[in-house]
Amino acid sequence: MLFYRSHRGLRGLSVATVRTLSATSLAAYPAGALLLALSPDGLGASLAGYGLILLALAAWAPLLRSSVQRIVAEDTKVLDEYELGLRGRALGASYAAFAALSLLLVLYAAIASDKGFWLPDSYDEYNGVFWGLFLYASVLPTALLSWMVEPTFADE
Amino acid sequence: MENRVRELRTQRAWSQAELGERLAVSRQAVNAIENGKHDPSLSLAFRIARLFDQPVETIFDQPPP
Repeated sequence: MLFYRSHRGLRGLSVATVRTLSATSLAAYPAGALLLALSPDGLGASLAGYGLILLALAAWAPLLRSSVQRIVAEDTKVLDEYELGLRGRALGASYAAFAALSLLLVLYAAIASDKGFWLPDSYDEYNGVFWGLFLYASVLPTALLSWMVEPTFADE
Repeated sequence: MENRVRELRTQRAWSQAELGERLAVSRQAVNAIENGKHDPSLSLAFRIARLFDQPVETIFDQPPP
């Protein structure tokens, strides 16, 4: 679920940039997906929804080459003991956050089915939920780790 | 844990990246050790002591609680 692409000599992203990109990705995807789901017939809402999803993906892609992403996704054999410690903390915190988020989603689904609120009911909507969870599982450890390290972490 | 890693490194005019290379760890790991944010494992502490040619207890010290 976690990916890292070596930047082979290119300069990595700063911690501040990783924080901004990961927050953008985590916020833009659900906003875009909800806009698409809640206003399926409005052209403006559809354009804004797809725009937000594209923004989330555009913010996610550069993270794959960051030094912060390297720590959460690189093969453990090439990480040192400090990096392994950071990785453990980031994955532990993101597991707790992801579990809490999943529980909240199930709670919402239970209430929504009783009260008639919106729930996904087509392949496209479930597809959106699937890729949203995929994005969160991939970005959360990087986002949380970027707040655990000093802003100068990635400086060479 | 307190340590003299920064002092010993600067005496030799090594950068954090250079020391990291000699110890086979990242520059961030050296920075975290120097700033007391990471206590090295026994194995790394002995590698540091060997590199600086000093007994490990003269580099690392645990102040009494």
